[in-house]
Amino acid sequence: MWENIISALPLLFSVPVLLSMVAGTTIGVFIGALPGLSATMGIAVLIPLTFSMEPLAALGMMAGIYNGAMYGGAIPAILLRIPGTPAGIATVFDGYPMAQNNQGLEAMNIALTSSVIGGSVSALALLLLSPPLAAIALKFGPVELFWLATFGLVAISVLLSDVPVKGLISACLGLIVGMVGIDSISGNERFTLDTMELSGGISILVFLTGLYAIPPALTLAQEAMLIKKSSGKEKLGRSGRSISWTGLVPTWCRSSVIGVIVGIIPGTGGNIAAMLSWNEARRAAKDKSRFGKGAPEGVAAAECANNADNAASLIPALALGIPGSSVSAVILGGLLVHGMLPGPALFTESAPVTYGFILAMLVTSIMLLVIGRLGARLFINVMYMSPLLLAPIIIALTTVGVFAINNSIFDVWLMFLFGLFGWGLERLNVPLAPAVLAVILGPIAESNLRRALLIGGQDTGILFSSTIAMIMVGAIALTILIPLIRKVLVTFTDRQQRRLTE
Amino acid sequence: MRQASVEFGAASLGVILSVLGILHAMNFPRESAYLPTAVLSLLMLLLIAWAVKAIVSLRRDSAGVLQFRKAEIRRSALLVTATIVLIGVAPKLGFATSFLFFVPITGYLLGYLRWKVLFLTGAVFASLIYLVFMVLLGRPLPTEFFMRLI
Repeated sequence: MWENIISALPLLFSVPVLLSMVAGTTIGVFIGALPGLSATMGIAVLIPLTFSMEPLAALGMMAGIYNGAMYGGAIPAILLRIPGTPAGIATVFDGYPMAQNNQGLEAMNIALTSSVIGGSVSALALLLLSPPLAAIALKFGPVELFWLATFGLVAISVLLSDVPVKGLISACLGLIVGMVGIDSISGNERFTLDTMELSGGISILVFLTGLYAIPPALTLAQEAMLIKKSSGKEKLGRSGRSISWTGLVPTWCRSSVIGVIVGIIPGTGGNIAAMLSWNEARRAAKDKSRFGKGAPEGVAAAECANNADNAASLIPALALGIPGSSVSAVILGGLLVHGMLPGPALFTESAPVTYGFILAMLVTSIMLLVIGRLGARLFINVMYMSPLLLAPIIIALTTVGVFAINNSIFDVWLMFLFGLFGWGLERLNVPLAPAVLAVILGPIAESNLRRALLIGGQDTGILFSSTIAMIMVGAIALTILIPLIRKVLVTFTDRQQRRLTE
Repeated sequence: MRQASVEFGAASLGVILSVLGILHAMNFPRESAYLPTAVLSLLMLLLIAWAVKAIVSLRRDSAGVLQFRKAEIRRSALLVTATIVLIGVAPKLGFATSFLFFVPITGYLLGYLRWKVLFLTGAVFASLIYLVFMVLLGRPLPTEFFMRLI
């Protein structure tokens, strides 16, 4: 591991990579500060632009956007009571009351420092936990890899949606998109509709850019949420009260651990980490009544945990090829674009770039401290940018970005169609992440299934021949049954309560 | 409009399309056919389950309502139309030139009325796109209309 880290350092600290990390972090904070835009959308829009960059420069930019956006969400949460990203919801609880008490700048400083600490701890967890996990996964054969990919897909589909059927529908749609083109094993065409452009398959980039960039642009234009210029700015002023930084240390320790653990669990996310952490901070406090009325620990807990979730959510994504959230699915898409196949092989075949990316998560977390301090006033002004102007800019940027990949206008039309489709799915509460994940994991699952069957002489019994495979089958069954068990439990408890009250 | 009605319509359409997909996939050579057929069959079953769930919600009268205001529909339709025009025109006019018009005109039609800001944003954005893609990244984008005039 240490050799790989040392070999990644010169690449990481080269001028183009450093510049792309600075640019990524700055853009990330901008995106996070704009209500309605998320890190997922930011990365999806910018992946086509990074297509012709060196892999580490592109990945460094993505790392910066991810970390930057998570902090950026705190700015409107504190000043306007509007979380810039879903993970900023818990920041509102104490951040906004602090701003109302004329402590806006203090709240922003606490949010920034806590984000940096959470992000750094998370990056260290990624650095230390993913290589041993990948080493275990490297011992897997085609049978285990098939079940692993299937487990990842089922887990995200079931856990990311309120209605598991909708998540599974999304996954099936993604699997079909992943099958378009020439079958890599038999060489037969599938779902190409006799179109030349489809024979090479649908690029993951076209698919994820369409799904994640077009719907937010349409929603921005549709809702046209205008923020009155200067509203919130009056809450910036310093109250003169000094922040007790040492008093925040226990909160940072607790929230970092919560963020990392929640991040590793698929289907959770920064918002859950922040909520849990805020709750824990309140539970641990001597005076619980301060929470929700402007307690600095509340802001620190929420912001530290949502940033601690960032790199941790990449642990299963990088080591096993199973992203636990939509943003890590998009990052895996970014890795694929640069010729890196998600999964344990990342730590052997592309080790310098993979370790470089992990270190970039750490470096951009630290960079955030400088960029956040220097650009505080500038980032605040971003919140007031009109969505009516932003929507056409996002569309234009996506159009030129996707066209530039293959100089193909067909790709642009396809991306736009996927965008409209994704927008429709969002309206019907169908999650998009399983579809993206299915495009990535579908071909991995299919090729390993066929390889396993070939080894087993077309006998399906080989799929249940190892202990690991059986454990994974059990895990898949359990994941599918979880919503059902939950429903039965809720109904049972309701009946019990009704009986008691009667 | 009730959400369950829309969901029922979408699921029914999906069922029809997945049946057509299954019929299409069954014509693939054997080794390439079984997974697409299996996935499409599973999709069809899931869509049937979704449609049934929507009908149950409608019967129980527990379905939520999808609310769209006229202005919201107008703005969405406008952005979709403008994007279609942009994708049609950009390869002929060049991307930077198209954005010079697309950003301010679409912004104005969507309801942003400050012309100075609109034109300035359009000009800065188009210049940045030209600089990043043509000069910095060296991507072979279509020749810009204004370059053809020079």
